[in-house]
Amino acid sequence: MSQTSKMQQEQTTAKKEKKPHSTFFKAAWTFVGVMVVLIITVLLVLWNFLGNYERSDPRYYLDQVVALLEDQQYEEAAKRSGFEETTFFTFERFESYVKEVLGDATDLKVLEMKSTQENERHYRVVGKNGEIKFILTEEPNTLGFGFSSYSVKIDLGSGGTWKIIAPQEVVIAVDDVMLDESYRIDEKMIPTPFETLKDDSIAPKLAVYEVSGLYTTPVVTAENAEIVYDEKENTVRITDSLKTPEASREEMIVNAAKTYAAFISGDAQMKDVSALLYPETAFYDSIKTYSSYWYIDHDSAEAENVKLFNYTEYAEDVFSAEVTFDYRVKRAQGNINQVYPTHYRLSFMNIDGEIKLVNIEVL
Amino acid sequence: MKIRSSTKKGSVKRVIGRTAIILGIFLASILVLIYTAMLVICYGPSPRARDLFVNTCMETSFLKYFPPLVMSSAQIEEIREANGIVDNGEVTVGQQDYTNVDNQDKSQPDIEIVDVVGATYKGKMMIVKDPSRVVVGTSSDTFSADKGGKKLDQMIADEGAVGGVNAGGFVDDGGVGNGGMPIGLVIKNGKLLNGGLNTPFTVVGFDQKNMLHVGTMTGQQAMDKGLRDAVSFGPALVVNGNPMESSGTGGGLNPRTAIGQREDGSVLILVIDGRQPHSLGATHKDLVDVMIDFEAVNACNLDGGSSSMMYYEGELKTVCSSLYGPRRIPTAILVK
Repeated sequence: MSQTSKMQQEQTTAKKEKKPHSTFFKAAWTFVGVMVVLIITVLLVLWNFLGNYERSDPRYYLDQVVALLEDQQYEEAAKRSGFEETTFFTFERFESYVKEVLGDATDLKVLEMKSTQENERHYRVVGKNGEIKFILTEEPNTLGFGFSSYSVKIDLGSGGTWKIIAPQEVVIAVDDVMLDESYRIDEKMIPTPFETLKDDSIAPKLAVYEVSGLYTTPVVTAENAEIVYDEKENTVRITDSLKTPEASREEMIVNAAKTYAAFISGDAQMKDVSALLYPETAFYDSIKTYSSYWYIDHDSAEAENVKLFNYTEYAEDVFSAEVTFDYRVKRAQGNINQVYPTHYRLSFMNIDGEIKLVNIEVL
Repeated sequence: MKIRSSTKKGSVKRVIGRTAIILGIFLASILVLIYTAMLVICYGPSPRARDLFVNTCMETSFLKYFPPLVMSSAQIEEIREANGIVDNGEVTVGQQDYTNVDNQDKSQPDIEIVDVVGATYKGKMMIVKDPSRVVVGTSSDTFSADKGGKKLDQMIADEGAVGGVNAGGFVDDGGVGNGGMPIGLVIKNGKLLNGGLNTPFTVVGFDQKNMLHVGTMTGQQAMDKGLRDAVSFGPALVVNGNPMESSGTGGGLNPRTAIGQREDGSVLILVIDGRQPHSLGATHKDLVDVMIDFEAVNACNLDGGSSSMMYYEGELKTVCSSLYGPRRIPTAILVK
């Protein structure tokens, strides 16, 4: 064998010996490659899964709104939190309300509250002067991997619809918006003192307004009126009670009160009271057979410290007022000098051109 | 013959070597996958997943070594602080007398066990009508690391109880402690068995009139309150009817044990399974929700993890997450 052929044979043998190694290492590298691809795939799936998982957390959505509030981007925060501007609760009102409650909105604290709805999560965002509630509602299966997203709704408290009950002629504004006829609802409401009238049709009617789109307790204004809020019933009652009656009207009310007291004590007759009363009332029926048995015999009776207040006009010539006085009863025999504190509400109205007493309530 | 033998030996070696290489690549790939998955969890698109991961691991004796592989201790601490129950320092006030509860409403069963199910957990709630039946059981009157603790079923049998759950925390280095030494206060029959008089702990325990007290107090304060049976653990979940507020994820997902009391005196004993396919576990916030659902007015978390378990009438009612079965523990809540 020549030197050259020997060398060729050695090379061939070496190649033969190396061949299995290189095949294995090729396979090993392929395995490494497959593992790398698998790892990358798993990581990509995991990344995607975690992204969906994160977006399935209600806090993911709420925190975005909170961040906007902290940055004082109120318009965007209002948009993201489902705030809908209404006639009564404008965006400006929203902004001032949020500023008032959260202060400068730095370092807001978010706390979860108990929710009674399975698909809702309730949170409160606590600021310097108070807190604002948010409701997050689940929107099922809106994300990948079966996760659900959430919609954010700001809950500004006792919102919704409010009823405002007022005398007909009182001009009312709710959150600076004047209430006109379009807010009136067809609900007959008779002022309590006039419910005594047998014929409803002649009774004065209160105006009933209904306003919707109120996120917070409405700010109701009416000139010369007393405004009472009933947060439980979402109702505001307005009474035109801040006026002062004319002197002649005041005299009429006080005299009626005194006459009634005298009738009770036996110092006046039914005809004296009847002259003042409108007979077609439940009140009239209840007193027409009244007889005084219990009053002590006395020589004189008089009203002292007479005061008239809470004069309320329900319509033109329809009014009521409260009267208080000390009713002093004297008798020389036995030196009796008795004082009865007395408090009435008397209600009058114009019937056929004459002002008549329709009701007396003992308060 | 010699040549053939050495060739055979060589090929065996080669096969072993190649198998080792493939296994090495596979194991390395698994390790790389675990490490990179941890990186994705901790630095990926979900801070909530990160917080749950870190809290779950850090509440677990064995898994607590994982987060430090990818995060600094400062980062871990920050996450721990931002996710949990906010301790407002409130302590149970008032004095209810529940000494004659068993004579009251006969329509309720004396002991009832109901299923508790949440998005990530399953568990059991034991409702004990008469709080005087609920006591603290101990492995010994003199705790010692050398002696070790007792398994719950043994403790129940020794004390003649009908059921029970694990109770306070204990020294558990590496998650393999023998349950010999409790952490914090242990009071049994009005006697302080463990814990200092002046060191404050989160304490949960019953007074002589069977009212459950919850909150941070020293041993002296606990004794002054007249606690008959108490252990230390936390956080408090409901105090004076107020659910404790939570921040972030409200803790990690883990097996949990908790105890509470209703206004009518009945005792709520809760065990949640965890670290298992059927139940990942519950956060502290979940426990608050469950206790409020069950109308607890005072409630506190007890030791959780692999210690969490509930026995009743000789039967393990929950699934213990420990691979080695029920662990030895120093204290338990027992129902006589």
